[in-house]
Amino acid sequence: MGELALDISKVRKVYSGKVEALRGISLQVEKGRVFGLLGPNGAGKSTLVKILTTIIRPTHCEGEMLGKPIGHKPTLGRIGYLPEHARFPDYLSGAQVLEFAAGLCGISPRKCAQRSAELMELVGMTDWQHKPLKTYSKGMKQRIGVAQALVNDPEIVFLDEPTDGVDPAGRRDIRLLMERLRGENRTVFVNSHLLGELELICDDVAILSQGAIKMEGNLKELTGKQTEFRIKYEGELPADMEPILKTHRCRREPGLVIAPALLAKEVMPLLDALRSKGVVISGLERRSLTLEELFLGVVGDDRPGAGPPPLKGRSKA
Amino acid sequence: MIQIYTILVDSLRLLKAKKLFWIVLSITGMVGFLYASIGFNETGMSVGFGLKKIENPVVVAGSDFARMFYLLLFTSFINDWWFGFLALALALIASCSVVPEMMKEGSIDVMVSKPLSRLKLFVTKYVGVLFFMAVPVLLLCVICFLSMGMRVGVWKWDLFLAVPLLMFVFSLIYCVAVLAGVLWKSSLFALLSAMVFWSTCYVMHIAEAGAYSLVYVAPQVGMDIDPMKGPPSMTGEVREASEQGEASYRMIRAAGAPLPKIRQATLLLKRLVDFDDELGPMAGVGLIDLAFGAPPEAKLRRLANEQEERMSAGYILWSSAGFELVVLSSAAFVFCRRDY
Repeated sequence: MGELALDISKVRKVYSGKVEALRGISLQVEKGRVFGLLGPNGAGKSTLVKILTTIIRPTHCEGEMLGKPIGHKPTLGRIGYLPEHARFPDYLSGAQVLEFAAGLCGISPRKCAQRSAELMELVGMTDWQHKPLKTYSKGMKQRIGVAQALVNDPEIVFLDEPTDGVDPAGRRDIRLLMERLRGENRTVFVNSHLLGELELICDDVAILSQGAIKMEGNLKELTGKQTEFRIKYEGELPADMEPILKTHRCRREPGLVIAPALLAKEVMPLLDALRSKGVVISGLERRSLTLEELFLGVVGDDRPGAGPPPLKGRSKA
Repeated sequence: MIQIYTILVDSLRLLKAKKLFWIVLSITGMVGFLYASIGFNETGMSVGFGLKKIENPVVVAGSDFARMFYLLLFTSFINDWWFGFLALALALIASCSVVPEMMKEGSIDVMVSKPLSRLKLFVTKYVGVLFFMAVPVLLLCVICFLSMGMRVGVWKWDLFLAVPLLMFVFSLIYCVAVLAGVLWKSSLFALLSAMVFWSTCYVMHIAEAGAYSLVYVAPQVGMDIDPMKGPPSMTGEVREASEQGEASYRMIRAAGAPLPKIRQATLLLKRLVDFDDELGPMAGVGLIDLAFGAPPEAKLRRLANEQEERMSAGYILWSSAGFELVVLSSAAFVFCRRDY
């Protein structure tokens, strides 16, 4: 593993009411990578990012970000953050939002002006930058939100649901922007439940559910490790095939038997069994899991919005 | 320094964007304009820069009466009512939403994720609001200062002491709105809390001032007040305050001691901006007293003055500042410690 931008362990957050939002999370993120944190609603994704950006106080947290302990205020000058449902005052223009964000980072208005022009160009808001935010669409506000997250030239950028409310063209632009940031050796930490988009951009992912990391690693390796063979057949499957399908952990879709296997030779006995029962096989396809399938496989029955169960008999944070 | 400048600029932009702020400024301007529009000529006075003429043989240009009348207008209406109540209420309405708005999800996240301490953010925002709410008061002071100078030749620089004093008074109420805003993130709740609190302080002030009059002033003017004997009557017999009365007064005063002295602090303006020399025999007289009858006797005015000055300026300011410090520290503590 290369140099780490983020290295945290045992991150816990217990809210009042004894709801344990995070249950001892450990995570490493390499510099210059796009890292995706996935999870159903209420899994704790935003809570984790808010802990890293000092918006929420952790119950327990060990580790470092950019070589400094979590919560070290000056380090926040080296990070950028776009919150979920970012809200900027309507009385400001896009350029003033950037000026405000830069000022809070200690960047002078003069320095900010130059950076602001570049960023407005980058997010495609040059023509709108001096108009008040109340005239912007949701997608335009989101673009300004992304720009303000980059105004201090950050080494890590946290984007919490960055494509929320953004049209397809805008989503592509944000994806291209993330690629560009990676090209500049910046780390991008993105929270999203839009798996299709993350699949296109992320190098590494972690799947968070019920306050715990269920799976993490390189995206290509994770999806590549889990392949399946899709066997197309004609007609009906004989009833006595069921035990054999169970043995091979197969699932069925209309006209399809899907067998999880890494190598072709592993499905040969299944094919033989189908053939011996007189099933006409019309096609065979080897396919890696999509991120969505991987995600659903890991998250399983965790209901969206269902957080971890309340603690019983444990101390309050 | 850049961070503080940024927050102050943002506070200014926020207030500029608020219609209420402009309404407050406009109403203040109108009050000043009305005051400035009152003039005097050889036959009497005029209102609206000569629009409406009122003939009066006494209140004519250059006369002492004209000067006294003009100054009494200021002390009786602008000082007592505008600075004491309306200006504070309008400022509170215009600014009570600042903290709850700032603390809304999505807005506060951006601010607290930046490399500045929450305490610095909180204090600068608070000071910024106070600073910019001083603008209407300053505007009225400038208009009144120029009007007094040009109309009756009284150039009273002390008038500008009203700006810091009224900002202090406003801050005593506003800190409660801030605490409520931090706790409940609701503009309405912040406003209601501040208004209820202000009313409570006012009731305490009335109770304490009333008790003082009963216990100390009434015996000195020979007034007998005993509900068991019937309505108050003038006996003419000057007495000392009774021990029982003094004990009751001390109890009432002690009950109000932890509260800020909002009304008393406003009344300090009378001590700071002293028109006694310019008003001469009319010093301590209210224009309303004159409108409804003869001015009170000199002795009564002296006693009323003593009553107003029963608390030292230091006690009023320091005990109020102590209260504000406690409330503001509590608000800052919650603001700095809470999760967003």
